[in-house]
Amino acid sequence: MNRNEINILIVDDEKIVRESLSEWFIEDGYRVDIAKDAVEALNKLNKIRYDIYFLDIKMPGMDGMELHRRIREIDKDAVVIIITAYAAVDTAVQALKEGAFDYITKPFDPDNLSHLLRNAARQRKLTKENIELRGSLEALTETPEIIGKSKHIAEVKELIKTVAKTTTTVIIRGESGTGKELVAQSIHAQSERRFSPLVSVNCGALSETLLESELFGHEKGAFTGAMYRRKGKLEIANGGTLFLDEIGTIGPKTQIDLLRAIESKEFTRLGGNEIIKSDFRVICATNKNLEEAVKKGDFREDLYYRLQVYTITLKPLRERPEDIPELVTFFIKRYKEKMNKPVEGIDTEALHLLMKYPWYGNVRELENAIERAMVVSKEKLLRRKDFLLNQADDKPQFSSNISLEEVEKAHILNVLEKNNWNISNSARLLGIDRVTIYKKLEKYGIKRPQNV
Amino acid sequence: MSKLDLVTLQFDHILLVERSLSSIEKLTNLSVHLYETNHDIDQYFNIERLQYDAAKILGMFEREKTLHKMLVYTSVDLFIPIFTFVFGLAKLGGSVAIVSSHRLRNEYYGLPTDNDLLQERLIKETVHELGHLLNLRHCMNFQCVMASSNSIDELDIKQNKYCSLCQSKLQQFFQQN
Repeated sequence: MNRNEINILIVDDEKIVRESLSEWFIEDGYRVDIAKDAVEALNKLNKIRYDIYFLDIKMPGMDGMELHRRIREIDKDAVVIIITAYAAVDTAVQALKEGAFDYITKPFDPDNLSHLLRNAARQRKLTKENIELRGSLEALTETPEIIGKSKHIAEVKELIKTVAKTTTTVIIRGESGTGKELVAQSIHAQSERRFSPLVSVNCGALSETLLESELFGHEKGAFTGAMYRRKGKLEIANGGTLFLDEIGTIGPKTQIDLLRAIESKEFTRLGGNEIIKSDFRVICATNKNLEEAVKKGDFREDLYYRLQVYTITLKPLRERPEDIPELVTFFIKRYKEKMNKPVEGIDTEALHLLMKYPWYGNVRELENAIERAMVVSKEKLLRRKDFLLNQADDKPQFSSNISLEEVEKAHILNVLEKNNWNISNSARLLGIDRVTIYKKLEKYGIKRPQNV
Repeated sequence: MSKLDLVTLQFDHILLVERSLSSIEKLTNLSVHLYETNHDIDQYFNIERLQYDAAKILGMFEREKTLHKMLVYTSVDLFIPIFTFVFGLAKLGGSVAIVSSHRLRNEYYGLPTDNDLLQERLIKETVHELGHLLNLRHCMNFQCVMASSNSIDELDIKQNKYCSLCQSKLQQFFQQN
């Protein structure tokens, strides 16, 4: 920001001050405008914004203090310098408390004024840069898209919008695969904390000791193998959001520590004494019945109430089939780009099948089904034959007197047959690797038919 | 070559200026004439500030409507209403400028007398204020004589000559006038 890009407005009822100051600033290369009182200044502000304002505190009519407040209302980032006589320093100090950049007493020491103006220009430049950078960052930060046209999804979006602006603890409930993490991402992305990290911890995937270390961090030597000091997720989430997935699975000791940390925003690393302060917002998710867990004594009641401030419940996909067409289109588009396949959509019969299917794995299962269909499809539209769904349109039914191994064998065989004995595709759908599928085939004595 | 009138008014260092004449001529490319004046400036003395109003003294000389650019040297302490002091004053493109030696002296800052340094400071202020009369604004190059100097340290840092950019602006000014 060069000097000739900086606009200064001088507001003073004394002509000599206005003229001398403006001449002095113009000589230094700044762009200067003058106003004899607050009314003239505010009129000018209707047409143009200035970077730096010099306001005389004592003026007939509206004084400099009130004008300062009005300018702040119009431009909260304006750099305002109060001009005062020695007698009015108290008022100038009050102006500083209300956000003025600095004050200067008449007559000015040229050296002081010069330094003040340079600092004010630097401050303005930094503020402008900051606004620009935030703008570009905002453009880069995508708000995760929640897909669906149902009334339920509209309500969820509204709930997210409402709670995002606050720092309230949120609990997201819903079956596995309904998109709880996506909701957490959306809350974070719409909050004031979006420029700070969203730190996710899957509580269900870690043992209690590991989870404690993951959350609170540890000091060097805190336990065997703790060779270095490590920051915990609570510390990393400073300024941002901490997303605790599967909160219902955490052990009793971690529950107490977590409750204390959430309430005080203070904690110590494992094996350490230093109190760490961290400003994090908590969003958690669970697919468990927490009320039941509280009754059984598995989940602390105080922690339950601490987390249960604002609840967003996600309905299972089978209860909102009207969202399926939009989700299908979205996933087809996603995988079309990823796989570079010329699939344009889905035919009516297949879509009808998908809308009738109960989707016990919810959106995650639907996404996997679409991915699988995209892999096998050789046409422009996905067809019923591309989907490997239980055609009975209901939960898979097994007799209660067969063993788990028999179920597994039947399922593997079924998947292989549907995939024309393509091992890689079948392994991906089953969520296991190729070596495992070969071992299972050997274990269950399943042999590839000669004609495949 | 254009003329520049150097006028002394209650000035204690005429000898220093006489010694500087050739330097000033060389630096400004003007033909310099030095003379003394006895104008009464008591009316421009401010009893509260114990200083003389530089703008009013300038106004007095401007009313005389000289043919050439004029630079007034004085040893009294100068101010303008908004500033605690000024080393000198000139209007952009005006006809008269004024320079005070009061705060250019080492003694003002509690240091021993140094006439060579005072002479150098007087030359810099002369060339600077004359630059304003010739339409030059302050220069961002801190070494250029047209750089703004609000303290004696800033005055000492800069050189006594115009930078190449200011020099070319001056040439343009002389061509147009």
